[in-house]
Parts: sequence; structure tokens; C-alpha cells
Amino acid sequence: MSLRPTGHKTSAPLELIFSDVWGPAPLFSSDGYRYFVIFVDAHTKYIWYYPLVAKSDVYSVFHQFQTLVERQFSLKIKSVQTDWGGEYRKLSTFFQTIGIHHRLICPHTHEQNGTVERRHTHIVETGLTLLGQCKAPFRFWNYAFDTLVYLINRMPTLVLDNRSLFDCLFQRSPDYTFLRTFGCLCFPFLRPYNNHKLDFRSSPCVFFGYSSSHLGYRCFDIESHRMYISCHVRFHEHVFPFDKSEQIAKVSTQTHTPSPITILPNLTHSPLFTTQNTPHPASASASALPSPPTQTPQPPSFPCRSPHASLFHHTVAGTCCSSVFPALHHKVLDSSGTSSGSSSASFYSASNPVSADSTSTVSPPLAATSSLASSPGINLVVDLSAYPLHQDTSVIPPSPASPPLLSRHPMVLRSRQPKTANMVSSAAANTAATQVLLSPSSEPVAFSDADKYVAWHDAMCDEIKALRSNHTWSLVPFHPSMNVVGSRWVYRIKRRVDGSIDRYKARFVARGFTQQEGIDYSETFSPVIKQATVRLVFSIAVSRNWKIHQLDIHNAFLNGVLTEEVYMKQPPGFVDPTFPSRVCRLHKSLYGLKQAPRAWYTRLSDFLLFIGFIASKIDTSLFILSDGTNIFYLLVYVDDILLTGNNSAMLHHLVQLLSSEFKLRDLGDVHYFLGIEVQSTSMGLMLRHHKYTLDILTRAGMTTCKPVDTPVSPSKLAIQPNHPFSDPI
Amino acid sequence: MHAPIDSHWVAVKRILRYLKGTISYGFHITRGTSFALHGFTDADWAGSIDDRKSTGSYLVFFGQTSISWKSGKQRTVARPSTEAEYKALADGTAEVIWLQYLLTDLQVPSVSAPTIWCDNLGATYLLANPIFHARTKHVEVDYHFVRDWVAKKEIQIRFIPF
Repeated sequence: MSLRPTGHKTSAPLELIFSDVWGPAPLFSSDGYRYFVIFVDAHTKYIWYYPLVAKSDVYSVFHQFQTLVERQFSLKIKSVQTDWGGEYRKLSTFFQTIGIHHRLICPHTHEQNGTVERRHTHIVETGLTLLGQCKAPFRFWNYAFDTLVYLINRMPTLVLDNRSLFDCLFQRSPDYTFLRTFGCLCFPFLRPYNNHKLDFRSSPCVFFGYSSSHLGYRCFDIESHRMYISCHVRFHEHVFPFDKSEQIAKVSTQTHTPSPITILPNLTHSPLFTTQNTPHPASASASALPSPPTQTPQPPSFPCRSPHASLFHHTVAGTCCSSVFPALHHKVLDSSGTSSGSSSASFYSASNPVSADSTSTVSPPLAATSSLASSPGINLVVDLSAYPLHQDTSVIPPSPASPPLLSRHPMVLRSRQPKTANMVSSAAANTAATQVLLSPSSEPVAFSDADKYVAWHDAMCDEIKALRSNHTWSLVPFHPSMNVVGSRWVYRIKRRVDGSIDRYKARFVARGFTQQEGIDYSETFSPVIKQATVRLVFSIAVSRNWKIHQLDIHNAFLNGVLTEEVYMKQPPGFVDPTFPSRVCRLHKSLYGLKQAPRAWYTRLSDFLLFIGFIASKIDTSLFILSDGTNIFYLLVYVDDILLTGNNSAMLHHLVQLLSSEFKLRDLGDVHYFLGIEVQSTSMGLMLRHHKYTLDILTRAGMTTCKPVDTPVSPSKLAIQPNHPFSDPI
Repeated sequence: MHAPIDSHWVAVKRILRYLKGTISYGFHITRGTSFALHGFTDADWAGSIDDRKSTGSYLVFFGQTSISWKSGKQRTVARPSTEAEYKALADGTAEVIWLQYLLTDLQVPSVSAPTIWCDNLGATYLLANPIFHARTKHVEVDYHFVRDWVAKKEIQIRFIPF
């Protein structure tokens, strides 16, 4: 059934405002947002975009919006059209008090709010194109969407006789010479930020849109994670620092002076833009400009329907970008290939010369599963794109040959450079001390002790890097109502079998004992496998000659996603110099948090259920995947996983599927599980506690005692009156 | 252990000596052909000389491999020995039922109803004959759930002479 046309025409701006909230995004944006709300003026179709931390922020954001527009245009908002979402219910009473007519759409009839729903799709899909082109991680979606709304408002549209929305609302044409390619390399003028006179005047940044409050550009420093606003910026519009395929490509050293985008004259004067459906290959920068809202080109091969799903489609199948936007890719390669490359490679490649095409290494494990499509029943070709928790950090295949996780995020810690430099200089001054400083042999307790050693300092830097690339937290301003959990470093020396030092490991943990129930944690229980289940599964596997694989999840707890709001102090030694008073709002769980095991279990079980496993109702740590002919059992004991089943080829693919989501190690046949040694014999399996028992005896100093055959003396069962035991110490 | 006495110390050392004596022991999972569950239950009536509570135990086999076992002091004092056996039987049955559910989840077809062997004829009669009996009047209600399972023929109780 088609909708009745409303027949309602507006005659002036602000007569009718459409509004709706989008979200939650499956990924927090880099600045901590999960939702956005847009307000669309029915008369001019002009869009106002506000990112939100929570849906309930709509109330305060609307006040901001109302104050802004009513003052700017000296007009009053007359009606607002929304759905009856919880976030608008509170507003409804407010509308009544000030006389705004609240138009509601019928329940479950979102097409009635078509104008704003259409804008959402437009913003999200085209925003993803912006991110896709510059290969920026998805956590920067807020900047992409914000920039996109800026561009949409300035885009000429057929509906308004080739005028832009901006033109209609402000009665003047926008300044197109100000526009730049989103995500490109730029060099803002940073002298005012310099600490001393020998600092560079600029550092390489990524262009992330236009500041709403300044007449300037937002430049994101990849190294320091800092956002600069500047109007003195030089752009390299064909270089995208996040694009790893460009690392090998040489960058032209000649500086581009800021020049107007070449296609813009066409854009303003001819209807070129309204007739073409795909970005013109000759105009790389045109890709940053979305087509007019009247006929947005839908990416033709996008298989995902919802904006959420499409967000992840890029993430998982990294090659998707290239297939959907071949023109863009060629353009990028052409420009870099033909540019007369003098020696200086891009700053990005200099810091990280390996892992040129991480996108292509991503796809094989997933693509490989397609060969299984012919096997009956279980379809292992799972479309991970629809899996909501999938992230760009987790798609790295966990083979030891793959580049380390960190290399995907070109970050260098702020504190690292100067400190290491100091260390080296002091070490040079005193060679005897160098040995001590470089190779500590004991495990320090306090940060101040550990920080004196290069080895520990490097270990801490590694940990912080891993946590950052995992988006474990974002910095938020402190508020007295927050319960801020402490944090500390734990240092461990990992030794080899012969006792020599293997590596120094620094783990950053939360002081979970300061958490308060109901405030920053609710449930802590995490199910563990029952021993009888392990024995039963072992027994079945042995009887049927199945292989039992053991998997080890790397840093399992860090994978857990927190549902509660948990705030933590900044890591000792790594306090952000720009915002020293801010606190970390945790998104992922950390070791030490009360809910960490539970968050991890939830994350793992969500994924297992997603790929088709069924959780046993009898023992919730047992997962079963079956189609009648093939059957697999998966046992979970926190981060130890046992996997067995009757089809070893598919078992292998299951392991690959898991490793595409979690960083893990396939330990092969089970040998050591929960302190139990597992040996295979001719008759079956032998489970023993030899090492564990020996450890206990050694600790108790009882290795040479006289063995007995029964645990208790049968004749002396009664509790006799006896002397209190005297303290042996 | 808020008030340790010397005999505790001796007991702990004895446990460690037992560990030493059994350090080479292991648990063998053998390749089997039968996928049936068998349970064995037994009780030591009034075995504790301190409070005269009984000890109940069970052992469950899956094929030829024992997969679950328990031996422990019962919560309440049993008056006749049959009662102690009956409680042990109930505990064993609960375990077997749990494992039976687990096998269903694991999609291992059950050939026949699991069998539980008990060495006390009185206890088996008590199960088969759900009559009100003055001597079992005080047995906690939750132990009687075994009767339902036997009535549904989902579990068999057999007598095993010792």
C-alpha cells in the first residue's frame, strides 16, 4: 500500500522540522559517540547534524538546535515531526509548553518520516564511501558523517533548481574553494603549539573535515592522536595516510599550494553533477563530494541492507572497497604511480615499511571457506559482515608471519620518544649502569621502579599500544559523580624452560576492588566447564577417533565489551599531556575488572552462536554445532578452548573462522589443559596431574616424604580433643 | 581453619603423602564401543563416629570410562540403613539424569534407559513401590523425585548383590 501524500507545503524555513536518531553504531566513534541525530528543515531540506553519546541527549541537543536556529533566522520552529521513540517522549511535553506542534508518525510506519530516514541512509552510505576512499578506520565515522552533512548542505540539487540547500537557507552561495578531499594528508601550521624553537613547524595530519565553530580545517595528528584546528594548512589531496596500499607508492615532494578543486567550476555551472551516476575517474576529489540527494548513486554491489551491516561489510571483506569503487582505486594508484616520485616516501611508509596490503591478507581465510560450500549441512561460509561486534583490529590472521597488530595503527606514543632518548643518553654516560638499566632480573612492584629500565618501559609501551589499537578506552572529562577505578601496572618476566629470560611483560590492570556493585558492574558470574563434561566429551572423542584441538585466545579478557559505564584513571606514566585531568571511559574490559570474565564469555558466546553453534542448556560452557552428519563440540574454560568434531577439514575452517574474530593460537592436539596433562595411548587417552602434584609437593617441601596409599588413616576418623596447632613459622 | 589442632596438621601431611604415593596415577579414557550410562551407588550407614551421619557415594560410567563420581557425608542422619542407601541412590540418579541430558545435547543417541545398580534391596523396593511408609515418612521430599523417573521408565534401578 502506498502512503497518502501529505499535501502539506511549507512556505518558510523552520515551519516544519523532521528529526530522527540513528544508532547505536556498533563502534564508538573515536571521540566517544554512538548515535547521531539530524534535524531536517522541510522547506529548504537543510540538515543539522549532532553526534550523541546517548539517545537521551536528544533533549539537550534539541534545545541547542532550537536556540541556534531561532536566533539565526529570527523565525520560530512551528512543528517537529518524529517517531514516538523514547528520546522524543520527554521532548513532547516540552513542545506542548512552548507551543510547538509535535507531529508523530504512525507506529511501525517509518516511511512516513521518509525525508529524514532517507537522509540517514544517504549520510551513512556516502559517509562510508568517504572512509572507504581514505581507508580510515571506522571509528572515525563521526568526522566522516559530519563532513558529509557539511557537503550535502553545499551540494547543488535538482529539486532546488541546481541551488544548494545552503544557498536556499542563507540566500548566498557557499564557498567551494574551501573544500578539500576528506582523509587526505595535510600539514597544519603548528608553531603556536610548539614547546621550543627547535620543534618542527608542522607534522603530518589527516584532514578530517571542517570545524563548525571556526573557519578552519580539522587536522588529526596520527602520531599524537591530537586534533588541531587550523586555517593555515597545506594539503596533499592525493595522499591518504590511512591507505596502506599507498605506502610503497612514492609521494610527490612538491608541495601543493592550496588550490580550488578543479571540478568545482563544472559543478556550479553545469548540470554535470546531476547526470552522472558514478564518480568520474578524472575527478578524484569528486568522490569526496556526494551526489545530490535527489539521486544518490547506490553502490551497485552492496549486499547489505542496513547501514549497520554495511559498515561492517567493509571491515571484514576488505576487498569489498576495491570491488565497489574500482574507479577510485585506479585513480589513487594512477596518481601515485605517475607522480615523479623523488625519494621521500610518505611519512607513513617510513615508519612502517611492511604490510603493504593488509586488505588482501584479510580475505583468504574467509574466502577459503567457500570451498566448503559443497559439503552438506553446516554452512561455514558465514557472512561475518552481519556480525555486529566485528572490528577492524580483529581481522588480522593470527599467523606469526603476519605483521603485528600495532602496525595497522600508525601510532607512536607521545611519552615514548623523549623518554627513550633520555634513557639512551644517561646510559651512554654510564656504561656500567647500562647493563642494569637494560636487563633487570627481578620483577618490580611499582611503576617508578620499573620505569628506570628500558626493557620494562618498552614492555609498557607495547601494552599501551595494544590497548589503544583495541580502542579499550576513550578520554572523557571527569565528573564528580563518576566512580573512578584505579589502575596499575603488573610486571612479569617470562622465562624459557632453561630459566633464561624470554621477554618482559607489562600488563595494565584495573583495580577492580574499587568497583561498586550496581554502579560500574552488575553481574560477574562467568560459567566454566564442568569436569564431568570434559571427561564425557573426551570419552566420546576417543571412542570415535576424533582429534581434540586446543585453542589459546590471546589476551582474551581484552576482547570483552563492557555494557556498564566504567571510568578509570589514566595509566601511570602515560597520562595524556593535553588532558591530564581526564579519565578513561572503558569500552572494552581490562584484566582486573570484576566483570571481565563475564564480558569475555558473553563476547565469545555471542560469536559462537552467530556462526551457528548452539549452547548446551545443561552445561553453558559447552557449544555444539551440528547439521545431522557433521558435529562439533566446543568447550570453553575462560580463555582455554577445546574443539573436537567428526570432520577434520571443517574443524580446520572453524578454527580459521574463530581466528578471524579473535587473536588466537591453534595449539594442535590437546596436551595440557587446566593443569591436566593429556597423553594419547594405544587404548585411548591418559589424563594425569603429574606436574601439578609435583609443584604442590615441592612447595610444601614434601618431595622426599614416605608415600601412603590412602588419603586418611581409617582408624583415626574422630576429632579427638587435641592441642591447638602451634604456628610453624 | 580458624582453630587448627595438631591432628589437622597430621591429616594435611597425610594427604600430601597420599599425593606422593599416587603421583604416577592417571585417569584412563579408553576407547569404547558402548555409549550407555551405568551408575553405581553405595552408602556407609552412620559411618561418621562424630555425628553418626552416613556417607553416600556414586560412580557413573559412560561405556567403560568412569566420568563422574562423588563420595561425601550426607546432610542428614539416616535412621535405617535403607534410608542412607536411598539418599545415595537419589544423588546418583540426579547425576545420571544430568549426564543423560548432556548426552542428548551432544546428540549421542541413547540405546537404552540408564541403569543404576544398588546393593540394598530395600532401597530398590522403596523406589518401585511408592506407598506411604511410616519408616520413610521423614525422608526429605526431594529424594523422592527418583520415583517419578522410575515410574516413567526413563531410568532402571537394579539390585546388585555384594
